[in-house]
Amino acid sequence: MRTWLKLLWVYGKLASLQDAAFRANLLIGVLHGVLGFATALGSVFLLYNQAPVVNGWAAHEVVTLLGVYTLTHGVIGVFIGPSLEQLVEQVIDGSYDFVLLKPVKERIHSSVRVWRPVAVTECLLGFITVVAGMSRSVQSLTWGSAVVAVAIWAASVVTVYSILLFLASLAFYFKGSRLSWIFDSMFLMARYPVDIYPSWFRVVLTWVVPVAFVTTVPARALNASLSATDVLIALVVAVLANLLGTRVFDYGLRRYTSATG
Amino acid sequence: MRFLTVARETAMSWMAFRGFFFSLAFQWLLPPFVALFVWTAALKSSGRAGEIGWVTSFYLLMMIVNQFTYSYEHWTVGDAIRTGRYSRYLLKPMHPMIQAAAENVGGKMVFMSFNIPMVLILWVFFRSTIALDAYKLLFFAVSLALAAVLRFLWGHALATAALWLTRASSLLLLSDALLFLLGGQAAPTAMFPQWLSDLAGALPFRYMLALPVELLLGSHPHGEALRLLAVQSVWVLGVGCVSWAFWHLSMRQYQSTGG
Repeated sequence: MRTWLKLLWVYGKLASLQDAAFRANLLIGVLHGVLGFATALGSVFLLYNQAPVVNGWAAHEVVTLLGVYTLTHGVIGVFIGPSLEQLVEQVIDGSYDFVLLKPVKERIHSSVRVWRPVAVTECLLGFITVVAGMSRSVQSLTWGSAVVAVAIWAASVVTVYSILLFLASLAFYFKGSRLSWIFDSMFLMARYPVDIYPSWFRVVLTWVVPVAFVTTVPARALNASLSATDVLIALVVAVLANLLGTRVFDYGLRRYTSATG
Repeated sequence: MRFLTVARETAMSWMAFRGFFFSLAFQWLLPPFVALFVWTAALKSSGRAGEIGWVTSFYLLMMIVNQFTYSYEHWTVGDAIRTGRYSRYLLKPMHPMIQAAAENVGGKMVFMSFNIPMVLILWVFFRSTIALDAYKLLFFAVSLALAAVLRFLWGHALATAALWLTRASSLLLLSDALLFLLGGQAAPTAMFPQWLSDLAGALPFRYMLALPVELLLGSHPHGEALRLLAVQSVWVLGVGCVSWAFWHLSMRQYQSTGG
């Protein structure tokens, strides 16, 4: 455990120093995060300019959901997403050998190696947005529901990580595949509650690409409108997704053949 | 002839990795697809179900227009400048901007071969209809061509910023974010509040994306349509001149290493 914490500290520090060396790019990266969030928030306000409630969701509830989305996207963007993108590139060009030669567990190392500190901006924006969205309904939030909401959110991060790990691991099976880009686009759908989509598409977004468990379920937990069954299902989905992702990675690793000399 | 040769060469080299490029094309279909459902739900909730057909047509057309006007060379040009590979553009007997445009056309041949069948399938699925006439089609075609040129020139100008900023992709992402909001993807331009509509009219993003769709779906008088096309043409000329000048200024300080 100490080794992992030390590694995380070293990688995080190195990435921060590297980003700080290019101040203009860092500033633009921060502005990009802010602007991306502002356009998403602007989309929500344009939407609610037309109707006060859309498919049972009020504006402040969707703002809370957007905050959850931004926070999750930021957490993934700090190191998980960039690390798994590098995993794909290393498998494709055969340089994954250098990861295998290191005296640390490959899957975890591949998930934490590359950091993008500027994504912390999204984490902060997401947290602030969640708090702002919850300000209209904070009276319905108890300590118990807050704990449940945090647990559900952690499960959603595990679910997203597992899906990204699964898609990145497909590079072991299908050389040249960079399917995580597709998930990035599917993840866009998590910006809105799944209740906004038609019923047939809701089924797809719940059970095929579990986008519903990424933002809608945590947002419902924050609004204290989640049943015990929903909580259990969300936790089971996270566990199953993690099992699938890690198994696909482990079996894929056995198929890996180096391209280096 | 050289232009077509470069375009064909790009298309053929991309078709060798068609799985990857088709997955990219699929990715670009998703934002308008999401917006279609979101705005359908909003219109139903606000008691304006009669406008759903129009919104559906808007976003299905947006899928085609977005793909047709998309400029991905601004990513490759920026990276080529940063890694020093831009030298190969300079050594060829063809202006680098024309080369980039030819590669753009070649890439579109690949992407549109996926995009158009997908949109047609969605068109049938949603049973969408449009009232067409010859003038609307003409205005749409002209506006679409101008939008593609404008978006290419804009992207190329931003990509040239790689000579001053080591990662011009950040600027390009900024531009894409503004295009998403003001170009009609986040919301149909007809749904904008007045202040946002005025802002969109004063900036080039609406003319890069939403205008062709508005001209095909709307009922603009001919004079108004011609005025909008004139404004779009002015943007093309203006951004083209800036892009050209910026490129010439940038080449004065371009340096490359490597054998």
